[in-house]
Amino acid sequence: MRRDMHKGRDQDRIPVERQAGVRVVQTNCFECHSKCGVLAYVKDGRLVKIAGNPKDPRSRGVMCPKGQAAVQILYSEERLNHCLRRTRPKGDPDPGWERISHDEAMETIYKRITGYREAFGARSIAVGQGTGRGMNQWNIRLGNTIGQNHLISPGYVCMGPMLAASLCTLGSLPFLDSGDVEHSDCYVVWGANPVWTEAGVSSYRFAKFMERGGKLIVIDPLFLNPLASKADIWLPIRPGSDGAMVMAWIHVILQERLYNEAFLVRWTNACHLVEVEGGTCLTERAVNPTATDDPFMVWDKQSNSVRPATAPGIEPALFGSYESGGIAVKTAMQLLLEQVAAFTPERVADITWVDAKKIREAAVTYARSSPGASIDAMQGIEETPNCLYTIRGITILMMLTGNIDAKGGNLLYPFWRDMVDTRLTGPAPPGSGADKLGPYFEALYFASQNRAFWEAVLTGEPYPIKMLIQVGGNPLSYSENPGLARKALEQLEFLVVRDYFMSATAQLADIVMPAAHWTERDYIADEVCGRWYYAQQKAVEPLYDRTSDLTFLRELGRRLDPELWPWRTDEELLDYQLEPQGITWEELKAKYCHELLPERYEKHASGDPEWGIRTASGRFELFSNLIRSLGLEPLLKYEEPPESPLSAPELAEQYPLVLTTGARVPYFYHSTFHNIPWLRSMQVDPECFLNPRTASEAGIRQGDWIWIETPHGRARARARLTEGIDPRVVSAQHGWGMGCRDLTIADLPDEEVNINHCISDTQFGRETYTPPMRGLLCRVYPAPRAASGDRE
Amino acid sequence: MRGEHKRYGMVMDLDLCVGCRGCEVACRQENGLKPHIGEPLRLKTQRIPYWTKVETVGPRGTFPDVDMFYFPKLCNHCEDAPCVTACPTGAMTQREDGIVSLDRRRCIACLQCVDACPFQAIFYDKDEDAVSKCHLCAHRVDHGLEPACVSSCMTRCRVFGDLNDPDSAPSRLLREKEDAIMPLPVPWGSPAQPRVYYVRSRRGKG
Repeated sequence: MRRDMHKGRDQDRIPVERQAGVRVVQTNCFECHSKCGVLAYVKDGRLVKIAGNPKDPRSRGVMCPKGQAAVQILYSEERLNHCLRRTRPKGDPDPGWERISHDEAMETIYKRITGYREAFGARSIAVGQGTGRGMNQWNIRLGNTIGQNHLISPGYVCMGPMLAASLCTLGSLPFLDSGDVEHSDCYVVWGANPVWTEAGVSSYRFAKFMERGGKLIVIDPLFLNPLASKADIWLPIRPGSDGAMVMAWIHVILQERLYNEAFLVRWTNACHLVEVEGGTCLTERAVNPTATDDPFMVWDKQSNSVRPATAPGIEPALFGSYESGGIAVKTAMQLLLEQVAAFTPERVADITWVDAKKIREAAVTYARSSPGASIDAMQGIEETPNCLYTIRGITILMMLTGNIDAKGGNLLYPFWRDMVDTRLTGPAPPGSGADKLGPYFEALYFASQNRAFWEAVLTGEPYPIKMLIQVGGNPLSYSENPGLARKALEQLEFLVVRDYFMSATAQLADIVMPAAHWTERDYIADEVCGRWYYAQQKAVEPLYDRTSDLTFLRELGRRLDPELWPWRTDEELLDYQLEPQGITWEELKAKYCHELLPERYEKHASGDPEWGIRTASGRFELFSNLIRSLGLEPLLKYEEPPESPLSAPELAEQYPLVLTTGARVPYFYHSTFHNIPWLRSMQVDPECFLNPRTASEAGIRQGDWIWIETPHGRARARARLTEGIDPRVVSAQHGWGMGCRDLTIADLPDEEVNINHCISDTQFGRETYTPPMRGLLCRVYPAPRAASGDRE
Repeated sequence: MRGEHKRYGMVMDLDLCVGCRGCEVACRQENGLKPHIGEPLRLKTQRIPYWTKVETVGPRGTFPDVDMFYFPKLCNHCEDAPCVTACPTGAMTQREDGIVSLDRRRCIACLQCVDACPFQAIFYDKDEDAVSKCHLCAHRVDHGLEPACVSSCMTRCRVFGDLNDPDSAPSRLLREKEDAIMPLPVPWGSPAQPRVYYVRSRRGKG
C-alpha cells in the first residue's frame, strides 16, 4: 500500500471515518473464537478500514492485530479466488491446477458422494473442519445428511474434552473460559492466554480487573504468558502435570475446610452414597427392592440411617463411611477426600516442580475469594492424555467453592447446548455411532479418533474411507504425527478443501474451493458470545468465485436431501437458526446485537426448567454417574504423561528436557495468517523458549536455529533464551510452515518446522483420545543453517 | 489552569499493556505503513519501519524470581523537540498543539533529525526518500478522533488527550498515579521534554 494519497503532510489527510461516501457496516470479526464487534468501512465497494465496534458490549470497540489485518486478508494476492481441479497425480510436484466453475465443482462433489455412498456406504465419506467457530452444527448436519458423521477435526485437543467433562459433570456445556471477570475477586488463568487468544473480549475486562486490584493467579510454564508478569501468584508448572496440581488444590481446600458446605449439599451429589464394592451410587432399590422410585441415597445424620436424597427434613452427611443392610457405603465427598489424601502440596511440589508454599497459597487465595472467583482453563490443560480428569477436577474446584454460575464465578451459558441440538445438527443416522473409529468403545469423544481415521484411509480397515470434505481446517498442521496424516491424505481417493489460502492440506486436494472471508459473507456470531447474538454481516460482496462455507453446506446438503435442507437461501437458513430467539435475520441485521438473556446468576436455582441440571442425579456431579456407566473412573485420577521424567526415567536420560508445544502469539491463529505482511513482519521464524542455562549447556546462543527432538521426531525453531522458563523445560510454538510472498519469505518445509512431528499418535488418553502435546521428553541441539528459507 | 492552547500527549500504564501489538497493526492500517522485517538500522537502505512498537522488557532476574513488562514506544512529541531544531529545511515542525509533524515535500533526507532524536523514533523511508515518523494521527485528532493506536488499544493502556486541560483523561491519570509517573529519560544536555508519560509497572513479581 503506497502512501501516494498523502504525499506531503500526513496531517492533511481526511480520516476514513470523516470521508464522504463511506459506508459503515456493523459486523463481527471471525479471525478467532471471540468474535469482537467490528465497524467495516467501505468505499466504492472496497473495504478500506476495519476498526472495533463500541456497540459490542463485550469488546467495546477494541481489536487485536489479527482482526485489524482484515483488509490485508481480504485482498491478499495469495487468496484462493476460483475453484481448482487437480489434473496431475498427488505425488507430482506440479498439481496442474485447472480452473473450474463453482457449479462444476459442486456437481463433481455431489457425484463423488453419491458414487462412494453406493459403492462403499456412507461411512466411506467424512466431513472435516478446523476450529469451527460456530459453524460446527452445519458441518455435522452435512455429515448426518451424507449418512455418517466422522467430523474429522482438532476437537480431541480443542474443546472436545472440555465439552465431555462439562457434560458429565455439570449436565450442560459451558466453556471454562466463561469466567465472570468483571465481578471476580480472584481470577485463575490455568493453561490459558486469554488476552492474546480471545483478546478483544477479554483484555478490556482484565484491565478493569487488575485496576480493581483483583487477585490474579497464573498457572503456566512460560512467564512470557503476558498475564504471568501481572500475576499475584505465578505457578510455573511442569507441562503435563496439571492433574496433580488440581488434586493438591482440592487437598488444601478440604484440609483447611474452605469448601462451601451449603452449596455442596444443596446443588451437588457430594452427599450421595457410593457402594464400596460395586463403585456405583447407591439407589433406593438396592436397599428396598420393592420401592416405587429409585432415588439416590444419602446418610441422614438425624436418623443415622440411609434415606433417599429427596426425603424431606433430612440432614445429609457430607463425609463418612457407613453400612446399611450389609452394604458398605461412602459419600462421594469421602471418596474425593480419600483420592486426594496423598496429594499433599509437598508431594505435588515434587511432581509439578512448583514450590509447595505457593501451591497452598494459590489454592487458599482462590477458595477464600469464593464465591466470586473464576478459573479460566484452556488448551494448556486440555492437550494431555489425562485431560478429562484435569478438567473434571477444575469443575470440582468450582463446586467445592460454590463458584458455579455465582457472581464473579464461572457462568453457564446456553450456547453450546443449543449448538449441538439436533434441531441444527439434524438427526444422527441410525446405527452410525457403531461406525465410529477408534480403539475404545467407551471413549467420550464425539467423533472418530484421528489416528484410527488415517489408518482406515491407508488400510481400508475396518472399512474403506474414500472421501473427505474439509470445510476449513488444516489437519496436516494440527494432527500429531503429521507424517501419517500426509500419507493418508496423499492416498485418499478424493479430497475437497475449502479455505482462504492454499494451505498445506489444500495442496493435496483434488478440488480446492475458495472460501469467502468473514467480510464477504453473512453469518450469526453466537459461539463464545456469552449473553449475546450478533449479525456477522458482510461488508462487501464476495470477490471472484469465493463462496460462504454456509452457502456451500446448504447447497450441497439440499442436493443430497432437500427435506433436511429446505432453505433456498442463506437468509432462510439463518432465520431457522434464529427461530428460538424470536428474531429474524433481517431484524438481527438491523439491530446488530441481540441480548439473549439478562445478566443473571445462579440460574440453576431459578426453578426455570430451561436451567435444570441435566445429569442423572439432577445435581452437579462430583461423582459422575455417566462416566461410571462407561466403566471409567467416576471421580478423579492423575496419570503422568506417558513420557515424563517421572514415568520414563530411563528415556529421560537421553531426552532430559520436558517439552510443551503450542505457545501462543497474538498475531497468528494456529496455522493461519503467517502470509499476511502486517502480521508476519512481527515474527518471521518459529521460536522456541529455553532457559539460558539450558542453552549454554547445549551450545546454543540467542537466535540460533536449533533442533527440538523427541523419541518421535524433531522440528526446527529459533532459540529464544529467557529466564521466564524452568531450565528443565522447553516451550515451542505450533502452526508454522506457510511463507509470505509479499515479504519474500518462502514456505518452510513441514517436516522441518511442524512441531507436531515431535508428538506420538500412539500415546493418548482412552477417555478422549488426546495425545500428550504438552508434557513430552526432548533434547535440543544446534541446527546447521539449512538451505530452506533461512536468513541470518 | 487551562492553558492558552491545547498540548497533546499520552500517558501509558505499563501494568495494563499486555503486549498484543494491536497498536502496531492499527498504526500500519491507519497510516498505510509498509511492513518490514528485522530491527531498524539507521541506514539509507532501510524500508519503512514502525511508528509505534511494543517491546518486551525482561524477564529480568533468575527463574523463578523474574519480572517483565511491555513497553509501547512511539514519538514522544517532545517540548523543545531536538528533531525540529536539527531540521535545516523546516520540514519538521511542531504544531501549536505540540504534535511534531513532518512535511515530506520539504524533507531532503539529510537524516539530521534521525540523529538528533534521543528515542530512535524517526526513520528513513527509502521509497519516499524522506524520513518518516509518528504524527500522533494528527489528521484524526484534527477531526475529533483519537490516534488509531489509542482507539484500538485493547486494555485502554494508552490514554490520549490535552495535557493543558486539567480535566482531560491523561491529566487526571498523571495526578492519580503521580508517584509512579515517569517520562522516558533523555540524554544529559538534551533539551527534549517528552510528552509521552509512562506509569511504572507495579504488578507482578509474583
